[in-house]
Parts: sequence; C-alpha cells; structure tokens
Amino acid sequence: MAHKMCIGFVVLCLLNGCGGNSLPDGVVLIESPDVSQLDDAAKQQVNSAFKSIQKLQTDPPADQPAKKTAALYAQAGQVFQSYDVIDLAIACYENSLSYQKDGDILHLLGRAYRETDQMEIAADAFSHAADFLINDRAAMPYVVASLYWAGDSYLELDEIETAREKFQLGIDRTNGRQPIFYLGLGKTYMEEDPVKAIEHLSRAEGMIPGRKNILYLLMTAHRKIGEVERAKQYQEQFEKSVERLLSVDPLHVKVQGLRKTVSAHRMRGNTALFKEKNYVEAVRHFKLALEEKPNDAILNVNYGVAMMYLGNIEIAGESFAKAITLDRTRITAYINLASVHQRQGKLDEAISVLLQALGQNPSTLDAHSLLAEIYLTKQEFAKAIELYDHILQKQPANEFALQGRSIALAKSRRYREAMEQLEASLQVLEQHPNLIFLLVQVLASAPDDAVRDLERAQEVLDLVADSEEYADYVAECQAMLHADRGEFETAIQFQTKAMKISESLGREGRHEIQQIALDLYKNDKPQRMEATE
Amino acid sequence: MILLILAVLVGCGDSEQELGGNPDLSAHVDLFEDVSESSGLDFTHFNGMHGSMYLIEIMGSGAALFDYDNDGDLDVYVNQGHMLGADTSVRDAIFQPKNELRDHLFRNDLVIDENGNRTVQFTDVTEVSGINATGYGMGVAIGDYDSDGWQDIYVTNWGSNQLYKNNGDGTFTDVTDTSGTDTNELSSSASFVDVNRDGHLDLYVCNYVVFGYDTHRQCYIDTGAASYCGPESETPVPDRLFINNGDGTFADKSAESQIARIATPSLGIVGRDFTGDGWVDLYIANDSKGNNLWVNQQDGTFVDEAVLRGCAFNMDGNPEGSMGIDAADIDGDGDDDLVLGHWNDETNTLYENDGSGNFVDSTSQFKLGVPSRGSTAFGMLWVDFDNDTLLDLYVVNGAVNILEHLLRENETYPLHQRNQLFRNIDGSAFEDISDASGSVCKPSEVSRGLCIGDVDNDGTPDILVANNSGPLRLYLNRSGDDNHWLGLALTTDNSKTIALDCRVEIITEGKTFWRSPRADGSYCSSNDPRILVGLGEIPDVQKVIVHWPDGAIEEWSEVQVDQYNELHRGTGRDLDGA
Repeated sequence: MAHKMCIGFVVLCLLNGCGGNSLPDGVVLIESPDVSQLDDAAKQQVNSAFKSIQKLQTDPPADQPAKKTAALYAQAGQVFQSYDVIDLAIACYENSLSYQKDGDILHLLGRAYRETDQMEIAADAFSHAADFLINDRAAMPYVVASLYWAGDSYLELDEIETAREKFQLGIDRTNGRQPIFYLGLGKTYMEEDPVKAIEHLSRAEGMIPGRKNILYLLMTAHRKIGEVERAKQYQEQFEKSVERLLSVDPLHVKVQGLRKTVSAHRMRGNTALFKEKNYVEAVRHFKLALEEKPNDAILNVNYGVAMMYLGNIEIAGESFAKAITLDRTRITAYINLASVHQRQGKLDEAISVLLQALGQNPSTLDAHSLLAEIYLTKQEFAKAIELYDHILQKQPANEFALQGRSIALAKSRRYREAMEQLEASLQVLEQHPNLIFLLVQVLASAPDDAVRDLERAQEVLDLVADSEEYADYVAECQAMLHADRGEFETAIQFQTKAMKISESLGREGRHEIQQIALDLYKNDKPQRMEATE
Repeated sequence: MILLILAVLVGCGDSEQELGGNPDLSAHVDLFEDVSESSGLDFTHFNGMHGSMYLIEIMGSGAALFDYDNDGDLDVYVNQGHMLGADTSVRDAIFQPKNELRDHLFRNDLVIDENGNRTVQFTDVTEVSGINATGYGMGVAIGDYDSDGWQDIYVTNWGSNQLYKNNGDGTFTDVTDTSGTDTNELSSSASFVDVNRDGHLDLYVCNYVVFGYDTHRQCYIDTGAASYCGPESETPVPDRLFINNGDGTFADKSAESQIARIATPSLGIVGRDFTGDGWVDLYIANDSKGNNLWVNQQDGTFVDEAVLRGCAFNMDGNPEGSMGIDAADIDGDGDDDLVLGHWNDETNTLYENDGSGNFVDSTSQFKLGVPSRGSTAFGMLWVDFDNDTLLDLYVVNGAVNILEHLLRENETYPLHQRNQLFRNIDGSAFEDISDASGSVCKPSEVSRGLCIGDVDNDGTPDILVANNSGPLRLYLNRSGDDNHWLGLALTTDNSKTIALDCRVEIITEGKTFWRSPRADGSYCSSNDPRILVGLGEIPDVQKVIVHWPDGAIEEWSEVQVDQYNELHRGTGRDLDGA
C-alpha cells in the first residue's frame, strides 16, 4: 500500500550519524496534501501546518537554527498525524529528526510507523526514543510510554528476549512501580513458562486489581498449567470487569488533542459515552460539536443519551424531541423519548411516540419491546402479549419477551397458558430466577386445581434453593408452598425469614407485599391468584 | 559481500527445496492464473451503493464451488446484490450493474484433451436452473439436505433466505417455505452440519445485525470524512439452528439448543469436533464481540465455552472484528486449529488447539500477526497450494472503513486492498509471499467471499474470489505438478450423498495427515467438499482411516496417489469405532 512505502532511513541515520546542521541528506520534500475530502476545520489545520513548512522546503532561511526547523517539521507532523495523514506525518518527523535528535519525536515516529504496520521500524524507533528520553532525564511518563511500546512491538514481532529486556528496563527505571511492565513481562512468558507468567501477572494484578486484560491472561496461564478451577475463577472476574490496564502515552494524547473538528468531538463523545461510560466527558464533547452543528440529529440523540445517564431527563427528552423534528426516521430518538416519558410516568405519551416509531419502521424490535413493557404496566395484557409474540417470532430466546409474555398471561389470569409458557421458557433460559419464581407462584397459587402442582413447584424451586442473591424470594416461595399444604406455622417462619433477608439486602420495597402474605398465613389462608374469568 | 547479496536475490534456492519442494518464489513466479474472463465466468458484483454509505453495501458477498450436476467437476454459484435505498433506482448507483441483478449459477464444462490439457469453460445456467434469487445476496451454503445425492443450495440474504432443492435434472425448486428454513434477517454465513449425528444435515445460519434504511446512521473517520459504521452501533440478531427432521423439513431449535440465548453480530461458522468427543461443535466468528465455541452437549443443546477454552478473545482478552474463519490441523498434531480474519487495526488471529479443545493465541509465534495488520481480512482458508504437505493460508482483504490514503487519491470506492498468501515454512511459522506470488495477490480489490476447490481436477487447489462491487475471479493453480497428491471424495451409506463432518487420517510412511471434508468456513462461501492432500515427495499412501460422524471407523488401504479416490461408506474395512 502506498502509505506503507516510507522507509525509516532517519532512524538508521540517527544510529549511524548523518551529521550536520545544514540541510542534511535524507530530508524529503513534502508535497501539498489534498484536503478536498477533509471537513472545514480539518482543512484549515492541515493547510496551516503545510504552510508552516512550505517555506522551509522551497526557500529555506539561511540563518534559521536547526532546532527551529526541526520544531516546525515536528509540529506539522503532529497535525498530520492527528488527522491520520500518516505518510506526511512520517515524512515530517523524519525531516525533523534530520535536523535535531529528539526523544519525543522518535516516539511519535514509532507510533506513526506502528499505525502503518511497519512494526520493525516502529520497535527500533521506540527503543531509541526511550534511550534519548532516559539520557535527557525526561519526565517518567514519557520514558514509560516509550519503553512499553518498544517492548510491545518486539513482542508482536515475536522477539521475546528483546521485549523482555525492554519491560525489565521499565521495571528497573520505575523501581517496580508500574504494573504495565509486569503485564508485558507476563505476556513474554505465556508460551514458554506459564508459571513465571502467573508470577508477573499476579504482581500486576496485586498493584491494580480487576483489570480485564490481566485477568484474562491469568485465566489462560492457569488453564495452561491445568489449574482449571482457578482459571474459572479468573474467567468469572474477567467477565465482570470493565477496565483494562493500558499504557498511558502523553505524547499520543497530545497529538490526538490537536484534532478539534466536529467529527473529532463527535468521536470522542461517542467513545466516552459508549466505551468509557464517562458521561460528563461525553456531554462536554457533544456540546462542543453541537455548537457547530446544532441540527445534527445523531448528535442530539447521543447528547440526550449522555444526559439521560446523568439523570437530566428533561434535557434528554428535549434533545430526543429535537432529533425527531430534524429526522423523522431516527428510530433511536423515538425509543429514547418514549423511555423518558416512561420514567416520567407519562405512559400514554410514551405509547404515542412508540407507535410513531413503528409507523416509521415496523420491524424495530426495541420499540416493540418497550411498548409491550408499557402495556404490561398499564395492564393491557392482550396488547402486550401480541407484541411479545412478534418479538419471539424474530428472537425465540429473547429473555425479556419470554418473561414478559409469561407475566402478561399470568396477570390476565390465563394460568394454564402462563404455566406452559414458563415451562417452555425454562427449557430455553435454564435456572432463570424470575421465571422460576413466577412458575412456582403459578403452580402454588393458581385458583385452578388442574394447574396447581406443588410437587412440580418444589422441584422447580429446588433449582435455585442455594441462591444467596435471591434468598428472600426462595424463602417466600417456600412459605407459599407450606401454606398451600396447610403448614401455616412453617409458612410464617419462612415468610418472616424472607422479610428479614429482604431488609438485609436492601429490598425494603418488598415489605408491603410480603406483609400481606404473612397476614394471610397468620389467618391460616394460602395465597391464591385471582380466579380465571 | 557481493556473493551474499546475490544469494539473497536469488532466494538461496537449494535450501528452499529442502523445505518440501516449494517453488522458488524469489523469481516472482505466477503461481496462479486468472482465468475468469477466458473461462466465461463473466460476473461482476453489484452492491447498490449510491452515496448513503449503508453498512450492508460493503459486506457482501459469497460464492460456492460445488458439483450441482454430478458430472465430476466444480460449478460456481455466486451471490448478487441489488439497488439500495428507499427511493432510489439503479440510475442512482455509483457503479452501474454489469450483470442481471440476481444470484448466478455457472456450469463448468471441463474438457480434458488427449494430451491431458485441461480447459475450464463456464456457461451461465441461471435461467434454466430455475433459481430466482433476487434478494440482496449475502452468502451461500451447500449440502445435500435430503440425501438424494444432489447438492442443494441455501442462500442467505438481507431479508428472507432461500433453500433451493436440487431436482437432479439441472433445475432447482425453492422449498424455503415447506422446509421451514427461512429467517428474515440480515444473514451472513451458513453451514450444513449434522449436529445430532442422525445422518441428516442440519443447518446453522449466522445472523448479523438489524439493518434498515430507517436505522441507518453515518460514521466518520479521523479526517472528518464520512465513512461506514461498525456493528457496535447496531443491534445484533441471534443465529438460527434448524434441525433436519429427515423428511425434507426442518425444526427451528434455535432457542431450545441455547444458540439463540445470545445475540451477536456473527459472520462466520465452522462446524468441527474441536473437543475430540466425536460430536460436532460450532465455532462462530463474531464482529467486534467475543467469538463463540458452542460445545455440543450431545442432547440437542450447546454451551458456549469459548472464553475458558481461550478462543473467544485474543491474547489480551480483546474481542476482535472477526469475519473470515477456517479450521484445520496446521501444525500436524491431529487436531483442528483456528484462524480468524480481522479488520485493519488488528492482526488476524491463529488459535492453536492443544488437543483437548483448549486454544492459545499463537499468532505472533507463527509470524502471522504483523503482516496481517493493515489489511481487513474476510474470506480465508488453509490450502496447501504447492502440495508440499504443509497447509498454507490464503486471505482475501478489503477494508470496511474509508482508507484515508485512498480517499486522498480521489478513489471512488476507497476500501480496496490486496489479498495475501502466507506460506507455511515448516509447520511452525508462516511467511508472507504475496508479493512473489503473482496474479493471485496482485489486484487491489474489495474482496469478501473465498472458495477453494480443484476446478480443473488436476490435483492442485484453485481459488475463487468474490469481490464486492468487483469481478468474480477464478485463479487456476499453476504452481507446478511435481509434488504428489491424494484426492478423496467421501460419500455416506447411500453412496450418493457427499459426506461432511468426518475426520480423515491419511497415513504414509513417516507422516500422518488429519483432514476433514470442508464445505463451510471462509466468509459467506462454500468450498469443494473433496479432500485434497499435498504429499510432496511421498510416493504412496499406506492407508486412509475415516472417522464417521456417528463414531464408526473405516479403513481403506488401496488408495491411489495423484488421483481422486471415491470412498463410499461401507466399502472399507470396519474398525472398532465404539
């Protein structure tokens, strides 16, 4: 590929010495970039960067210090890199380095070569950058970044020993205070010595617990040495964890910060919203983007979503409504607006918005799902069931639809159908606690004798008997079954126990409903659902 | 010093030969010849793009190599797109269609003259075949679902999928409704695979995300230029598993089998017995989500064990944008290893099987990581292109996000990339020989589907590449015929139905090969199900042992090298398979 054709001759020059403060050999002419495809802000920045070096190229000032020339090339290179014009960025960095050696620029050159997949040159550039930065007594974060990226690049090249050297040097330079180097070192041992890998990875995990990538490697290493149970524990932690241990690269962050276009803010906002879950940062970027493009429907939607996460549902609702006026086909705006209405208790407004959404796109399952949920709340069960049927036709294992349909059937007193639906759902969603509790309830308290089946209810409940998370629900169900058998004393004991557990688990909201059941048992009455119509 | 440089330039030929008779690639020989045009394979894919940058327009499509008329040579099926956009016509398309907007079937009329010269000649038989696949074609799976000895076609689309029953007379009948195999989604790859060992091929269909014009959104690259969005911004759709009832109909067991428990944007599938328990497991390639290894529980259900078994995520525990996929025993240790194709910010990934169905990411050790960065891989398949006994890897590429450097060159469709050929050096590492391999890696195109098969029946694997908004390309293997080879065509009890899902041991003096008939894998495509084993200088094969999907084991000792051998189940010597 064209952008891969640059050769890292300056890196070699630096090693061997290409000398001189005058125009050194190896400085390449940088041609004017075609900016026709860039957006306005990007065009301006890229053109400005090019102009700053144009004079150096065509009419180099005779008395300009090499340091200044180097800086101008370096600055232009950073702007090009920030807009992903990597071939020009590389050329600028190479030119800059021809005038003056600099650890920062070598590091950025390494990043640029890595972006163009020239891993060997990148690894060397990082390595030399680290040497320069160490000699120059640069701030530690810069040294750490260069050493880590050097090690990581050698690792990709399967040059394990060299990678190990870089990570070990990082540990030495930082007095063992940077977990990223133990992570790197651990990776170098994964193949040949998993026990040693575990040693280093555990150290990283000890310094900064709960990082996804460390946990995954620990899982793999333990599995490799046959410690399957330990591996499973790490798998569980890995699946629960969110954050990763990544290298902090201050120079790269600085380069990325040079990008100030709408799209840059849009992308940073999206990253903050969807990947980092940093809603404050997301709002900040979306606001900046919206200043330039207030009538962008997607920006309005995403801004609204970020606001919703921050609890500002009024503003969120306004954004979604605006997005709909800007683009009537923007289904996500309808669904989000309906969610806002739902949270505000405006169920009819929510239904109206969702029906509009389905008018635009009848196949949107998210709209069907939310609409069904709202109908369920409004006790319009037939409508809810119809919508759940539609969802299940498309997604036969849809958890919410299976659950929602069962609830709708039970609440509409179609107990036999509810029981059958629940049994079928449990074939798909084995040991699903909500389904189990609902099935136990139907089997234990349906008014129809033909549906009630205490034996089966106990059998189903036993599936979650050991659950700590749902211990109160289990106890409540036990109480219900005992009451149904006429064992009211035992029922009262279980119900009281359930209430205490709920309290300890912070589910005080259940107290009222639990008390009603307790009162029933105290009056020697089992629970019964309403009779079938 | 001069001598050393000369040695590098000519590639030190002798030592190359020692690696199993590899051709000297330093001379930039043309290992394959593009015969698409001369063979009459006149097809150009139309993606229906008109500037809205719909996610779907860059996804398709696939192709199949299969013998639909049972005349002994491989025919070609290829997917076609149509115009996209709610209120558009073909006039709005950026690239005008060059073929009729329906999937095409080409019949291979291979001619071998008295001197052994082979001429591949295709005839477009779409019209007479009765196939009327006018949906937005994504992929194709081939299998004899009704065990009548004739290969049937399952077509995946954006919209309703279609099952075409082969009538055995050159025509097909659309049996989608009666068979119960439709799924009205954006489907991608599919595979016929017997998951319950009842001798009838079941059907797995990968579904991607919810796609509609109304939910379409625009994404941007760093320069601010508009680009395509990834799957992260869309809602994934669960896959479907249709169990063959044995009477021409299927039952949708997606939910009961647990497959539909999770919704992932899936694009690729291979069905193999990864865990070594004799039951086919299903490995699914997901785009930007962890991949799934559905381990067969032998009771109609599956459990996804990909995370613990080390093949859901790369070494760092990162999900990757998996598109293409293949499985084969690349290190010669008797189990199937996996390779996954990813997008250009990631490497392709090799998951090495340790023999028990646990995997390790061995990408860097096999030297497949760095050379695959910078390319977005779709179809990819293991293939011993030079019959030197070692499985090599061919990968077709094409970006999914606008490539800034191509955009600056004012390219209208700035996604094209070159395909890559990686040669297996010694079973423990690969080298990228794309630049030296000639035409097969020369065009820079937006390649998606890839099929491999011996189209001219000369004992060397040929390559069919389905390009998005580009020509279908057939590359005939011209790497030379010095090395020995063994061809195997396996059929089931009735001696008519091509067998899939079995494992085959090919035992020679000093080396044992493990192979499987391979129709699935790659991306949205279906391959020649015959087994072709490169033997290098090995002059003969002692025996072939077939491990049938139901556990039976059969042995043949009279197989002939340098030709195809038909192995009908029940004609070999029974070994104790219990």
